[in-house]
Amino acid sequence: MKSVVKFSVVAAFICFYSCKSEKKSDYSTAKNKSEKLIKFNNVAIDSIQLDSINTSYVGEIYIKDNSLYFLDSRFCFLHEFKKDGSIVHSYIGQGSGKNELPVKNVTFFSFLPSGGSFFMGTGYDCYIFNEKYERINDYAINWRPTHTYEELLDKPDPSIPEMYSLVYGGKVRAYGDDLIFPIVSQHRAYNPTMKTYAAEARIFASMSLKNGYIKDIYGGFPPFFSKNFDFMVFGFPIFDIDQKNNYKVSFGADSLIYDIDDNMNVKKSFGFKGRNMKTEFKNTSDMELFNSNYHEQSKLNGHYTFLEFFENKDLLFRGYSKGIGEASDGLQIYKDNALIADIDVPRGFRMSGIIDNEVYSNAFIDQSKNAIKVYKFKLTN
Amino acid sequence: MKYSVLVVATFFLFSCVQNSQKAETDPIQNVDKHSKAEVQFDKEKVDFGVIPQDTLVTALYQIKNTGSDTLKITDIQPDCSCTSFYVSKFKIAPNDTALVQLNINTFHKHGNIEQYTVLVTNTKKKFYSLKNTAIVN
Repeated sequence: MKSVVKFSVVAAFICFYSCKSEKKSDYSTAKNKSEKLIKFNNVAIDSIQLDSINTSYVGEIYIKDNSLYFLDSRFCFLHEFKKDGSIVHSYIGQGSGKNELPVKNVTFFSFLPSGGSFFMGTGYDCYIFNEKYERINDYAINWRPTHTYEELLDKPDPSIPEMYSLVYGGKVRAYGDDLIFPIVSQHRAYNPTMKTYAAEARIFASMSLKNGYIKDIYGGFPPFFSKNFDFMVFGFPIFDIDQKNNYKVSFGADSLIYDIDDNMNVKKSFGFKGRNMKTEFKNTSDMELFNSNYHEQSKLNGHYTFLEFFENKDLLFRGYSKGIGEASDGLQIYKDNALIADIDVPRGFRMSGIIDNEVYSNAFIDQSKNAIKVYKFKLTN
Repeated sequence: MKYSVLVVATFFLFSCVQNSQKAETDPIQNVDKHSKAEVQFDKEKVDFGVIPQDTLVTALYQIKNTGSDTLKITDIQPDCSCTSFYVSKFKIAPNDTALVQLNINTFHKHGNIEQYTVLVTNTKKKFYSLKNTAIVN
């Protein structure tokens, strides 16, 4: 009987500690290896018009196998287009049928390495489709809750998954059998309006694509944010992952890009502040005002908006807004650690991918003209 | 012999049924080609301009059934809990009209707002989006 009790205590101890995340980023050893080797200062930006479709005009462009896909996040259709904008096929659609999507709003989407697709609705409800657009799995994200809200009010713990939620508006990345996404705690007792947040919070979660189980929460903010509390209003990470599970991570209000391995060891940093960026950030100490302050600050100030890394070309793209009074956004292109271009792009520009050495943007939607436009430009050597 | 003829006939019958089911949906636009209900909106967008915070504004949309079958509104999906709706009727006879009223509460809103409400119907296109915009001061 004694041995049973002993075993139970040990098992409970192991379980308790395995639920906690200890994989935090150590930025202290990272060397700055920034270089500037500018090769060009502008590009010829062209645009294509997508064929007319039945759409809510709320959605985004994704790229797979040299095709453009417009995900209509309200009607839940995935429309496939050739790179000249002509429609090829429409898949899925909202509905309760076997191969339809039973959600009213798609909040996150990613193509999967298997050729299938991942969709998330508004309530952490996840849906997996195979490459033939047949729905093969549904589940809800399991944040592994073990505490009540009140318990966490008394003793918030930044090392447990249930403290966090997804960063909406961010990108999710599929790696192997996992989905990786940025997280934020919006708990009343622990959130980015607190000065201790930047020092302790985790920034990423990995979720099993098989069952929605949150396997781990990990990573952390660079010391820059502990020293610059006001910058936390744009503290959310933008990131990409290479084939070896190395991360390229940047943050909305930090000019550096961090090279981080899968154990969250920060190997190096590099990068330069975008041109003409206004960075007079003001954070708030009231969580209720955090979102409205974020929107207000994003009108006044510039911040880094997306990061895409193309391992086969060794090219990293980082976009940024500049703030009030500026007619364009900026796009930086890095090769290895070196900034090789910092060019102007249309306001609101995000990158959806590369086809045949041409960079394609997100969807620019003009509902009054029933038009969806995609910008593109050729990469020069 | 009779049995095998019956099996072959059954096989053809079901393969024809399957083919006709496939043909009902256009693979490009995912529209139901056989639906005879059609919808016409008097407008699909309302811009409220500059409005104060903590107030309620209302957008009215008129829907006409221009088809030859009963138009059914099967679902209404505002994208915000701040939007409530009222529909004068969910089944609209050919040539008849209905009103969709969207009430938007600007409590805690600030700056530019863009809200979409999706109507699900039994028409060829099935989905329609109504857009409300405002600047909340």
